[in-house]
Amino acid sequence: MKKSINILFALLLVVALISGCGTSSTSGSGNKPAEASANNGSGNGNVASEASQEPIRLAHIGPLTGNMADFGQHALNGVQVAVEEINENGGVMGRMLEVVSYDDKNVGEDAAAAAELVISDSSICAVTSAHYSSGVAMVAAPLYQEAGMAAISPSASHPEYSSIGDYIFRNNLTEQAELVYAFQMPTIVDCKKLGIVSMMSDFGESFVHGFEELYEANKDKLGYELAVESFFVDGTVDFAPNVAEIVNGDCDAIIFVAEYNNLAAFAMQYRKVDPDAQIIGLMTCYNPELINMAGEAVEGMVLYSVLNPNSERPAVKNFVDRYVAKFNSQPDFIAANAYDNVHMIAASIEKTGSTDREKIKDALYEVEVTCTAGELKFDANGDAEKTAVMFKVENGDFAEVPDAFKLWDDFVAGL
Amino acid sequence: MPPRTKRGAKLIVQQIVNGISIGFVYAIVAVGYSLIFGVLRIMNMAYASIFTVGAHFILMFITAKWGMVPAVIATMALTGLVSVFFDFAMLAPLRSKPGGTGTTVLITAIGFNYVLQNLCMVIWGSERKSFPNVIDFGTIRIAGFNFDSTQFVITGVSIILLIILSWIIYGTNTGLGMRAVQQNTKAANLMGVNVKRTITFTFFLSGITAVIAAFLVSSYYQLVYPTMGVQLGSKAFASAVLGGIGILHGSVLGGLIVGILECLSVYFFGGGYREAVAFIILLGVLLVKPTGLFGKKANTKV
Amino acid sequence: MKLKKILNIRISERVSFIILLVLLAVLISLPFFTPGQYFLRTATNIGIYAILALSLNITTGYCGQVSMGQAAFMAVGAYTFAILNTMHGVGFFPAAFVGCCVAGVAGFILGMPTLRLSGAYFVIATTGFSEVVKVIALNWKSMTNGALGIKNIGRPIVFGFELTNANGGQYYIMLLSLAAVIWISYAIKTSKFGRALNAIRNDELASNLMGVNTSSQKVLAFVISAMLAGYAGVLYASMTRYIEPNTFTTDMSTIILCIVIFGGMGSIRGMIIGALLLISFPEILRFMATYRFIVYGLILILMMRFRPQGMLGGVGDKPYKLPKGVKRKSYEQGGGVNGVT
Repeated sequence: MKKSINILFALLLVVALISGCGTSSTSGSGNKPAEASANNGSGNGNVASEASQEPIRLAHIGPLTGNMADFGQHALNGVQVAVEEINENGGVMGRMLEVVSYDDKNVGEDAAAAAELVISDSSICAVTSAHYSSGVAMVAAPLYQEAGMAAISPSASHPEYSSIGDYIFRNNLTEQAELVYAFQMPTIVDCKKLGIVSMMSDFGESFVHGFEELYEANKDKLGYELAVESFFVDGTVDFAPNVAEIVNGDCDAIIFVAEYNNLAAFAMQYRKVDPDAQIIGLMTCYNPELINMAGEAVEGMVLYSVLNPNSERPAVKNFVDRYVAKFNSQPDFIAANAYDNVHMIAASIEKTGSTDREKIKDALYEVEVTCTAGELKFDANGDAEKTAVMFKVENGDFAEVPDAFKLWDDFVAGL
Repeated sequence: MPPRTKRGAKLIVQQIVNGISIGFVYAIVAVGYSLIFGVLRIMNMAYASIFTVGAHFILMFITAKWGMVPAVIATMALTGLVSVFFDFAMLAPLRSKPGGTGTTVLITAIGFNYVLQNLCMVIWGSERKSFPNVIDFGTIRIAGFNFDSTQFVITGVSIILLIILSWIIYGTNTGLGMRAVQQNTKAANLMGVNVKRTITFTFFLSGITAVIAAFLVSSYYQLVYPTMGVQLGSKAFASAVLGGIGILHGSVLGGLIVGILECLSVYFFGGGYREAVAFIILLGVLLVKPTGLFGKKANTKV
Repeated sequence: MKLKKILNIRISERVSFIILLVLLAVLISLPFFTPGQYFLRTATNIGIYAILALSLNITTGYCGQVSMGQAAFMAVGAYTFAILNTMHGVGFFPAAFVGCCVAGVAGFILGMPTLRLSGAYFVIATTGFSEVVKVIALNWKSMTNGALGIKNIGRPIVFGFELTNANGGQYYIMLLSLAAVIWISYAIKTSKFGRALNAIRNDELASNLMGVNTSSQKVLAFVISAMLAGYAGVLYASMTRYIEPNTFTTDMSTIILCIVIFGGMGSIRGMIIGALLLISFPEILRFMATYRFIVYGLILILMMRFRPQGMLGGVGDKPYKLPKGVKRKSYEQGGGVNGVT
């Protein structure tokens, strides 16, 4: 009998504690609340309230631990830079911006749990940076849609991501857009025999499939042959069998379809066997850590990114200067995208004059903001038009290769 | 249907060569599992995380500007202590309990493995960290196939380690004690073998072996990260079981077989099945001959 | 003296009954006074892990075979359900049923050859099986969509009414499922089958000699455990609405084992309390979330060291409760061999 009472007490205690956390509109229940402003929100913020001194709260959910931790952290950095900048200029409608951050470890279950937490918190009016990989973002997206909360992803590439609903936005290259750039690269580097080395992930499989389609359609006009496709699973460190396949196929260039941490290991092993090979990377390979880890092995590789840190455009210069000053390192694409997201949301709030979740969503389709991506605007589907720039790793740094890419039709016509 | 690639005998041979290199990597880790089982008849499920901790310690010392040799020696001492601590604090109390069944030891080992691995993650971060390769003497091309000098070093060290360990177990009094403890702990005690000291020595030795393996693997791949023990540990474990767990030369042969079959599977089926090969072999071995290739039919039911 | 003893028993039974009623009332009305979906989702998650713990309880708690394969059976059940539901339009309940059966078949395939192995080898075999299931899910693209995973998995539709997390429907399905699994566990425990499992756990050789067909009983226990885990996988897939090969990790199997060890092998209440405490603490103590797995590992170590029967375990060592009406004759009264025991 004593045991039953103990059980009941334990149950009630747990219920009480969880309900204490669930209703909270303070930042006390946040995982690692990253507060860019000094204000600590303590009000029982009601979404539609016009309490004029309450900070406006936005959420960042992304991987802060695990394999993709760098991406989540950089996105958070970008958000923080934007929040600081906006607050310095007087905030939005006279109110300060504030960011709450949650770790989803790039795992679907955690992403959904964090999403639910954020949705239940009525003081958060939008998710300014939603997750990292498409697969994970697509677990959480239906939740945001059902609950009616705008969520902008700075990194999802899955073609159907934004179609999940009108509350789902994407500020990144779609997969089709990435293919446009990736497909041009083998021609730009004068490749004769191409190999693809891809991770068996949702992005990898989808990308390779798309690339194959483009290849089949334009085979006769291209100056190279797609000789080898080699796959590996996440977590692989030993790439010897993949390297063997590539070398056996006499490939002189390979496209690596995975993130920078996998590329580092692969490049070191590949370059030992074939020092002259040309490595082509995608946007997710753009990270200074890559050069720290792989050093000489990635010298001369080419890749692309939507952010050119050396651009002369004032919006970009402003962002890069602030980022470097605050974090002592160069920003990458996800930081820039997240930074832009905050500005889009801020502009939407200014436009509608309220922090109502639905009104923010409606306004997001209407605003056009000058930021690192140029004149940024979301189309009817929730996607944004982005352009990318080609880079080459020279002397341990990412150097821009100007005017490398053409428009798709011009490129095909010129083959 | 395997993805498009150029097939041919040359690729098969290259994959076999790759398999042998990976095989020696597995072998050198498998030896650690065999050592403990050979003396104590328990599966040291925590070995993978001891290996990981060893790698992280070496990196820690190197980052603190120690030289590689002092770093490795210091790590051997430290990791040996961790291994002994594992036995002293967790396994020994269970041995003295009357109902200490195999499962309690197993679960404790699984728990410790988990704790140690996640401590690495918390203390040093979960991302992959760069590790210098001091045993790299360039690539060697023999008869048109690629050999990495680091691979030669690994092969050489595996064989030397095997010889040294075999000498310890079969050529010294301590080794005699270890074999006695394995056969019958009580009788060994009665015969004057200091059982506690023997067991401690075995764990310390396994810690040192883990550090050697960690040094070689980290140098080869030039990466250190908290989950490095997970995949490697399971495959090395499969190798040890395949060769006959408790038998040192069996581990080496087991490692080679697993490595070769793994690389050949990439040739025939593409890279997606690679991870399952070791486990399929393991399941096969357990069903057909659980004592492994070199294992003798034991009296106790496996 | 005797009368007082009987009265005491009656009183404690009545109080337990009342406590149980209050608990039930709280659980059933939970969606109406909880502050938001997050809470319901966590509650549903706890329920699913409780079902998983109960499923592992049958193999590990009753039968004494430590298994790390629950995540694999979850995966089998979840994938079967998801494939039927999204690609062939089968409704929730029939698809879930097929999912359970396929998971059971997987349990049979794995269990038949491996259950004759001793403890440690069996654990390794089950871990290996998890890895093989993951690889199959990744590579059998025509069936499982490979790395892209299966999305938009459907939720239960009862009389045209879709049960989601928002309307509390998913929580009730979980509650009903949990009640069913508790009932199954209890039925097994008090049946001849359960006694056989208990005997096998205590001494397999002896029970074999006593006429218990140990192989078939162990396999049956394993198959039932696999089916329940498969059903938990179905609920999980229906809750998260998206699964991919990496969803069902070894971490999950370790957590489930941890719950079983913590709650007490063989104790049904232990499973539920264990799931409640171990799944909710990372949510409540969010700052501890990074250390979550260290805590799980420590629990395994400490439990084995200080209280191997778990918090509420040790059930198997209690004297067997005779059915009503059978008198226990003590040996001191000269019961002897002819006495009823």
